[in-house]
Amino acid sequence: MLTTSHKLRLSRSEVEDFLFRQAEYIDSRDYESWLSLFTPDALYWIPVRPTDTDPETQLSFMYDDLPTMVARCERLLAFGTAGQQPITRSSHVVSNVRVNDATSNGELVVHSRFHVTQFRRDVLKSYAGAYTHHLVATDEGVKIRLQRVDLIDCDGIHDTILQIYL
Amino acid sequence: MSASLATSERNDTAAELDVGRLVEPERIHRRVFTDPDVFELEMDSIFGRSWIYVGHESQIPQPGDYFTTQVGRQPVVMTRHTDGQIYVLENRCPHKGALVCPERSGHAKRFMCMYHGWRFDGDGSLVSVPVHSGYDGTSFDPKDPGNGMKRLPRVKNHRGFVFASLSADIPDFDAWAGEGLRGLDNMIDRAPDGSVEVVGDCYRTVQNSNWKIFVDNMSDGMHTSFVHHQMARAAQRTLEKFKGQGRPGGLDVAAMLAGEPDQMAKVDLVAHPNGHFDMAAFAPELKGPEADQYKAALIARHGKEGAEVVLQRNYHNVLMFPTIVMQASLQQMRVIRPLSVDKTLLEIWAFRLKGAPESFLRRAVTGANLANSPSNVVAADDFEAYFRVHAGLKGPQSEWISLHREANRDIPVGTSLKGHSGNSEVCMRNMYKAWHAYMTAQ
Repeated sequence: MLTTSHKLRLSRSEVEDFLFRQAEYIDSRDYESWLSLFTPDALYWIPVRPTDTDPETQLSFMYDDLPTMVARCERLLAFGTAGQQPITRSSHVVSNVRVNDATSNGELVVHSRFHVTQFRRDVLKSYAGAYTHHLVATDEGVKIRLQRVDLIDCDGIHDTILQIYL
Repeated sequence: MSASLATSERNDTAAELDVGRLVEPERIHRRVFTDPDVFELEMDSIFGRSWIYVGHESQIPQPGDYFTTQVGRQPVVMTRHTDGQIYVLENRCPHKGALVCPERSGHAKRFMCMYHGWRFDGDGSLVSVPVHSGYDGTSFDPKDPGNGMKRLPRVKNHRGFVFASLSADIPDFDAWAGEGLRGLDNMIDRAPDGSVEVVGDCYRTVQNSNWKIFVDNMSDGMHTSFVHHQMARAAQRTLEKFKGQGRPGGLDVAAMLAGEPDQMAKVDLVAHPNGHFDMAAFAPELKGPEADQYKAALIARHGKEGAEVVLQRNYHNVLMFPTIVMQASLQQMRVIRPLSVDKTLLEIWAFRLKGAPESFLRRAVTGANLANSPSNVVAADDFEAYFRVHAGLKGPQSEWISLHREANRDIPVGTSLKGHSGNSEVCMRNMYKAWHAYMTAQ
């Protein structure tokens, strides 16, 4: 996959289509399509505190490179994964989309809000927060180079292991 | 769900509790895990009468810094006072009992109770009571500094790791820890500067199961091939696909659990007096120029032979019963804070070995994200096992769980017991022996 040099420009509705598609892939457990939205050097980061700045040396919920993302998705789909008996279902609502100008390295930075409800074994669980997507143009279309997920309760106590991507 | 829980609680409490009969050498009664009365007794007899880990001194580097947690059921605050000393105080105003420090951590010149404005120093001393004339002629002296926040009667700072006890009348720290200390000490000895520090704040996760179900799993070699097989295979396949690309301490460690049912047989398991144990490490050591530099630094500190001993001793899981489960070789520590008979809070900390290359810390962080975070892919499957064990044990019909594996093959080593293999349930049997001693002590 080659990243093109020109600055990515997308309208808000184009960005919304992209974000809604990504959310739909998770909710329909189509992880292969979901993974195809990321560049090979992509990072998916859920900080554990609102103030965290360096995921290399600070704990995170998730700080996944692409191999980790692939392995995580494989675990979810593998026959017999203990934590997915029963499976987790999810439903995303993505809103409040704001498109920033492209940055100097050609990335388009997009802010949005999400509300994700998950259901597993009689327990309904709610996740809310903000997405920051760094999008780039490639010869295979628009891809995500960095997705940051800021949970409003990231530094709280968690009685459910978050198993599927938000 | 709540209906079945209530039924099981009734059944538990209906039968008279004879706690001494709940533990046998090779089997454990289900009420050890499910009975709320047993839990209450544990809070008094174990968490009220042993050395409980509070926190690390690096969490409160400056005078005025504090950190709040619990010792058993007691909310406490660990402070660094202006005298530079560390104190562990009951987090409770002596007036009406309100929490004085509501935050998990912070910095305060002095503490003030929000309810009626009583003020305290970092060592707990009472500084002032507003409108103190109201106490004239009463049996309470608002000018006596000793009427402040109470100090826990025993506190021990072991190389930066602060332990405390709610009871004054317990054995000294060294006698309690014994050989069980070697795992913690080994992690500290591995730091070329001879000390470690926490990395930021901890994770806080809650397991919906009894705390001992988690502890049992820490020395359970047999579960790895079953509970973690899918993730281990996923990690293995992914590493093949990406030709080994990926951060050290992540998928490479997970992939090590993709073996046969006896894959942990060769791992040393050693049970120590008072319930402690350690399991030898199996994750690969870091290699390359940084690792060579690190070894040179260790030799400079410990000498050649000393450094070899430090590096040979290497532990995966280390239990300091009842609160600490360290993953020493991965620079992580899980602290057990039981909330109720079926809810267990873990504080999960990562450590920087001072003087070690930055790559060691990065590996620890990668491992923590993948294996211990609130969105991890390793303990996610363990949690499912803990939940199912607890749910299964609620049924009153069958009473015992089995700890028979390799029971007649333990190997005495000094005052410790080595398991016949890494599949042995020796550490569980040893822990319940200690549990029984705490619970039946007069």
